[in-house]
Amino acid sequence: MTVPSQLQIAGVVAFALSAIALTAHLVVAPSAWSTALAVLTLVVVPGLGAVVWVPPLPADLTVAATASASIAVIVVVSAVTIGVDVYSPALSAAISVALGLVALAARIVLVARTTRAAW
Amino acid sequence: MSSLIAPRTAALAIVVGTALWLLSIPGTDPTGATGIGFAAAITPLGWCAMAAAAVAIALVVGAVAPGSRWFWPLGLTAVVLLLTTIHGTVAFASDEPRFFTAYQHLGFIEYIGRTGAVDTAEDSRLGWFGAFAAAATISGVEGPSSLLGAVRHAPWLFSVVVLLPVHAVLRSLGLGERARLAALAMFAVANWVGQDYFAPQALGYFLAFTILALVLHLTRIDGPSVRHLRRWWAAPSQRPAAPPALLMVLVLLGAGLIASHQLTPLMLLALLAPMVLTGTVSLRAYPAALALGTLCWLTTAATGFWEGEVGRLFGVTSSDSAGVTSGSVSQNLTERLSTTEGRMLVIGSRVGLSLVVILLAALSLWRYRAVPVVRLTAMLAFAPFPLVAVQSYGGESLLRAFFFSLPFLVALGGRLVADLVVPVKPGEQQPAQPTHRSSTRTMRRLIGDRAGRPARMVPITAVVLLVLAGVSVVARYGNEESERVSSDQLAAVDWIYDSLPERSTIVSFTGTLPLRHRDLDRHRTPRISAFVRLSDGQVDSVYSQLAASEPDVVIYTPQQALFGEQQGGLGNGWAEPILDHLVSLDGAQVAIERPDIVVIVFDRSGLTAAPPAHLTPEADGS
Repeated sequence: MTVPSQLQIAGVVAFALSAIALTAHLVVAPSAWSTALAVLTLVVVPGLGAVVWVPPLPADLTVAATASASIAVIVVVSAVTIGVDVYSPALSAAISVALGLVALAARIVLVARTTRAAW
Repeated sequence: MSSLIAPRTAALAIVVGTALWLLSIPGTDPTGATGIGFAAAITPLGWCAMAAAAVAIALVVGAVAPGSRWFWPLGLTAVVLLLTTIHGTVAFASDEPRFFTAYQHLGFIEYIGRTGAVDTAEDSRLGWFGAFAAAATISGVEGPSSLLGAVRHAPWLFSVVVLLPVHAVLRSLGLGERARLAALAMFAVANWVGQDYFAPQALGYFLAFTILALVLHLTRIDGPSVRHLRRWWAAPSQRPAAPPALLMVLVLLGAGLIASHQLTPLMLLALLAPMVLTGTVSLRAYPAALALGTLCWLTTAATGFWEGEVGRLFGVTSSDSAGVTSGSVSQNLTERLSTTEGRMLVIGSRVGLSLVVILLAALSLWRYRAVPVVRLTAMLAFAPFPLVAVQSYGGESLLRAFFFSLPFLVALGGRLVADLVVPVKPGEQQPAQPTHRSSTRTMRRLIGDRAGRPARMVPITAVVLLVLAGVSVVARYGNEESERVSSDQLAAVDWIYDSLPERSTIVSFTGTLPLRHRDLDRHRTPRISAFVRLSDGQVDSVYSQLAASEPDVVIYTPQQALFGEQQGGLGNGWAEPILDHLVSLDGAQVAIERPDIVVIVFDRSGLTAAPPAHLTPEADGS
């Protein structure tokens, strides 16, 4: 890890907030503004969360890869649920968010290990 | 302190440019678009904002030391400001999202969200439903109407976020910081193709270049060239392995790409192939897996596409265009639009902008031909174009090939421009920090220079960049007359969808309308332009086909007439006699008549509600 541990923790918090915001957006009836927020959540906030990215990638590539991966998860989950005839926006959203939370948990564990080792 | 003069001046230019742009928005009227497109609607304040952004970029490229803490914050902010003045103005000044195809995509999203299924019989593009399904998921319980804000700002948003992977690719291709910033600025102004709207190909472009950047970063080996191919294949131990987590991400991105768009995976494969064959990267299995996945999708989920359009897929057949009619009743509507004035300027700007970028790339290749990575960059710039010969896709393949080639073209051009602005001595990686000496010349004192050239080149660069940015607006938004969507049009179409019984027939002159943005499986929507083409200029045949379609509602807009003339190959004034004929038919009634839309309703339609009062013919007189 080349970034300060405080930034890593801030990244985890930002990523958690993004997951909560996305969940709230998908559960509560959205408006145009909440959609804009969701887009920001998908594209911008993962960039903040990306400071906990494990491989040593440059910042631009980290943000691009994290945002792409966030979107690709929703694309693949939605496509698969359509393919097996169980698609609904709520179900696909729930699976996508669950996968996101698993990834988040994995990141928290990795950050905790790295931080503990650093201290 | 003198070393801070250039960054401070650039920062001031950015602040002033941002303020000018914000002030320009209230005064920008999208209906002011003319034959040269949206450029005619941009206010002097908007052009001044663009000029300020160009000045800021030129100052950073030419006078701010690479590696300093100011270089990238100022450089990137200036490029984003430039993109905002090009793409953001139309987005923020318009009441509704522009470009009819984006509305069709909303229709696909609404269909998937409502039915939970895809049917390529409704539209063959639903064969690649990944991005549409993801948008349906994101739009949640309210449906695609909640996406209208995102649709409106999509071109601006995509043009900005794609800078991230493009920048990463430029760095992997060995460009210094000045060259990278110059290349990003060139990318911003040369991206006129218009594939970055609310569409799967825009998402695909972002995914594809993220994949390319990851592959270049993680598995670059700079090893044997193609001349030593046998040795490279025989020495796998020399190849660095990508981290497993990143491989998973690459697979995920590849799967999302394959499910979202038909052409983008092919373009990505065309770019990956030279990298693998020349030994630039070690990830040999990934392109093979990507190709296999693409083939699997084509033969399973997307069969509805190629069954219906197999000839088009391989360029055997192309879209037809013929048929001319003439006449008049709604001249007051069509006269608002210029048909040929400025059209040549728009086409010329597109060709010219492309040629400038290609010429710069060619000059750069000639100058740095001894550098291996420059030759590789040139190969990548050329790689997308052979696909055009395989599959024209209605002529769009050439545009998309240029779009995929663009990051590599500007990589070549940016290297040359940066060297012109601040020459690099042989063997020097980065230009030295400019030294600032006392001088009577203000500009020389402002930016400092080593060889005397930057003092001259900064203003020249700013002027050239501003001219190219202006040309970019003409090239990118040159079709604004026919692609603009007004609030009245959207309200009228929504009224029709809300009021018509299911299985009604909604006839439009062309598809340039927010039609099929919802309920696409609930109504028939034939187009008169198709009747005209099939009739080979025989007016009676058009009328008989029109009668046979038994329309319940007919929608006419001036944009449709113009689109038929400019891009459908139909004659000048082709729509007017048909509109006259429709109005004269028994049972026909003009329900909506506004400057930008006419809706004719027939007695048999069974409409359940009256049109909104502000859209009726009576509203005009009041």
